[in-house]
Amino acid sequence: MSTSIALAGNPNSGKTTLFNALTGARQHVGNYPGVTVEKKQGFCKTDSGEFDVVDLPGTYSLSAYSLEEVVARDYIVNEKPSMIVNIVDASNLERNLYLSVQFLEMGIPVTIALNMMDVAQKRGIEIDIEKLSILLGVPVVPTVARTGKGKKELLDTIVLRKDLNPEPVHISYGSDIDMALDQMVDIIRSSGFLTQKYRSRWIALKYLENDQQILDLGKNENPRIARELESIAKKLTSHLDVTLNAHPEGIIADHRYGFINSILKQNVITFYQDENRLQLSDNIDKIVTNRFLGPILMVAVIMGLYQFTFTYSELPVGWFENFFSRVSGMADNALADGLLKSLIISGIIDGVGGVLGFVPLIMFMFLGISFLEDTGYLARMSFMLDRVFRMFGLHGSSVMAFIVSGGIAGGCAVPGVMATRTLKSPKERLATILTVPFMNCGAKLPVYALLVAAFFAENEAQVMLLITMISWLGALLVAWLLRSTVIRGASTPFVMELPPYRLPTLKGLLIHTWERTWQYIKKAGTVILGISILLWAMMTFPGLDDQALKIFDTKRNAVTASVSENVLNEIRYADTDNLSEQASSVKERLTNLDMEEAQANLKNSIAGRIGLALEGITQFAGFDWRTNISLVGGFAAKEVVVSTLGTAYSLGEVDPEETQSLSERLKTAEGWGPLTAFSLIIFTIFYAPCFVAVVCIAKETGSWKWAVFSVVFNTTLAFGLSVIFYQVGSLILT
Amino acid sequence: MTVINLREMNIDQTGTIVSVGASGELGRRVRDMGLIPGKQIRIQGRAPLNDPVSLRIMGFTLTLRNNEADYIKVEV
Amino acid sequence: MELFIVIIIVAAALFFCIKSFVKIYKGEDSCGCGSDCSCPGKSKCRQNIK
Repeated sequence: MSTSIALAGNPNSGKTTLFNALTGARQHVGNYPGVTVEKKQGFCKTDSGEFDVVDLPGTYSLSAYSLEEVVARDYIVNEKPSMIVNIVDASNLERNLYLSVQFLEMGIPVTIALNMMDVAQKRGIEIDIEKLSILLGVPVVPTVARTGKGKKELLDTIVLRKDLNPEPVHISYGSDIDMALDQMVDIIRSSGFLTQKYRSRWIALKYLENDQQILDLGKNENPRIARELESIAKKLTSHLDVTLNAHPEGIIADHRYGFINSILKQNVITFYQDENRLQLSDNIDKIVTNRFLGPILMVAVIMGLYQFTFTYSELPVGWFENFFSRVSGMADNALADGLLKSLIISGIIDGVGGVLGFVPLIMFMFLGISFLEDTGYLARMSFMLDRVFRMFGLHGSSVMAFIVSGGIAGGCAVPGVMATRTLKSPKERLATILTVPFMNCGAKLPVYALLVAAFFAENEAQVMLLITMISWLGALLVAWLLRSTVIRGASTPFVMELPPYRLPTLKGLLIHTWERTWQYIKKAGTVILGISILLWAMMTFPGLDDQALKIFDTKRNAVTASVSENVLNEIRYADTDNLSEQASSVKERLTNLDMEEAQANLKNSIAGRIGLALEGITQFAGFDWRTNISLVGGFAAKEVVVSTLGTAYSLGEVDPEETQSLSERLKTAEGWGPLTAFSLIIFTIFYAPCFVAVVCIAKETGSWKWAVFSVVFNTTLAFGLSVIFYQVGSLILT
Repeated sequence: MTVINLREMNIDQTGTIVSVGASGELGRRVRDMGLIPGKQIRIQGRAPLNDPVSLRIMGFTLTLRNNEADYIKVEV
Repeated sequence: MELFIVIIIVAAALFFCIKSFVKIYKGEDSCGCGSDCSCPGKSKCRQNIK
């Protein structure tokens, strides 16, 4: 039988690191407040026993005020883990204990893991662990999660103390509140009101704190008693308001801190340095968030990230491209001409290869972002940008969602949409959800990279920065538009912790990067492979009818009949480089015919018809029907834009001797130029989120209305912007 | 000893919180993070656009906006 | 024969795509890119907290 334990604690207390140390589970370790919104589970088997570990979301309190707090509290109450491991940051003891005290008040089995003992020591903080344990009435185990120190002692303690419900800690909240509490406890006890799940004093306390979740539960359980309790709470509230000009919630919080203080004052904690002394981290902040240097540094950091990504990924990206060209060439030689060969080369190898070719680029980008995230720089970015975000009706914490979606580059709108769960105001959250899909997600990156490499090779980093700026500006303006029309409302507070800078461990970075890259590869290998095949089918069938085929055959026969048998044999067997003049001209005519046939076939296919039908409108933005096919495919997943362009252009040009890369092919293709390319980039930035993101938007906003809105609105916006850009651009250039 | 608004404090100035007038959502968040009467704070810095402000309390760094700081009275 | 194989492959791709979208919609599968949901071991990552 394994023991169930739940890890709970403040954000940035090292909770996730401890979870990794216990379970070895490979998952995200961020340094940003509120990174763990989802429940993570793992299994741990050691000499001490077997444990089922749940990583609860990081919270500062248990007031059921944010989603994380509700999640954490509900889990503890409903699942009744054998032990709650409360991770407490020793270098930040007082505030961390505020949460611990609330656990103690619930009367549940708690063990405190006093984490970051090394950091505390460095800061000149000494803690009398034994005394703290006695005064709190629960075991306290010192740990250093980063190195795994104290893990064994912690598990041994858990085994020893599991399932032992301690008496809840009884804090005095001053005579007024205590009297009301006693009165309420009597009522609750005598009627057994909610007592199967909660302690009676705790219920009373929540009524005084005006805890919506418990109030609702109470109303369902027994409306009469609920009303009785509510009236006591109301009476006390108005009494306190008159006599002290205060609210019960505030007084309760003050007394909790008072209780913590009274414990710490008994020589539990000794500071050998001033508590608020400038740490190294603060000195870094003086420069990094400086009024003048801060923004410059921020731009430099982003610029550096691009430089790093593009410079170092150039070589491996080339290897990947070569590899897929070679595989494609091999398949070409090995297979007989026909549908199957076309499916394998055009559908599978070109489609998946086009996406996989960008793996090194994505990997470097993820590595850079993980580094910024784990050091704590992202939190500074949201600090610096809050004022700007607020102007557009968003919140500093929206930065997180934007960055995750690819605000710097290479994220994904789906986790970005989910990251908005940390936003408390439903309106700011909705505005964020609807605008994060404009960011440069990892799937759009290959599209940009392809076009930038083909048409703006001289200034790759600058153009990427420009793309990023356009997507940000667009997102902010749209957010502002939405917040001042459809979703108006007040803004939420920006009370946030700035975690100290930490040097990320190389192992953590690599695991983190590999995971994200692996997700990308997995997607290319599964969903994208499927879509690629489907699109190939759409681009191949129904095929040309017999009559059309006959016309091409007749033309071909006419060419071959016009020359002697010798020439034909020469084309068939001789070295391609040393053909006679006549033979090479015949060969060229034949190739041209093949190309024409392939073109006609593509145009006649389902996808071609859709693309052609749309060309009437999209020509104003500079898109031909082939681009239309790829953009329609992009609804399914943005990577598909690249793979479909690959398929469309390799289907169109049958030249097996030349397996040149797609960007080379585009550069020389008809109708393509910097103007078309940038128009396509603009369209890609703004048009409908991919299908998966749309589904997630529907799920997160709780209605399909917003999902449909984002598809229609974004596509219209994107098309409008591309048309304006293309038309104005054409006017200026001609 | 004068009591001023947190918003009016200068960078690197220290003070003791006298009262927190915020209620509801903001009040709860502010208290969860330890901004309660009697605590010592020191203004650490301001964002490039002068808002939000970052301050040091109980050994960690906290940020809040100027209009949120208005609710907090500090004795300097 | 060749056409038959091709049709089978395309049908399989269609089935797979529909299946994975349905799965994502029902919340059985993580929304699946770049996110941090990869829990090895016996228990699956739970998507829906509510």
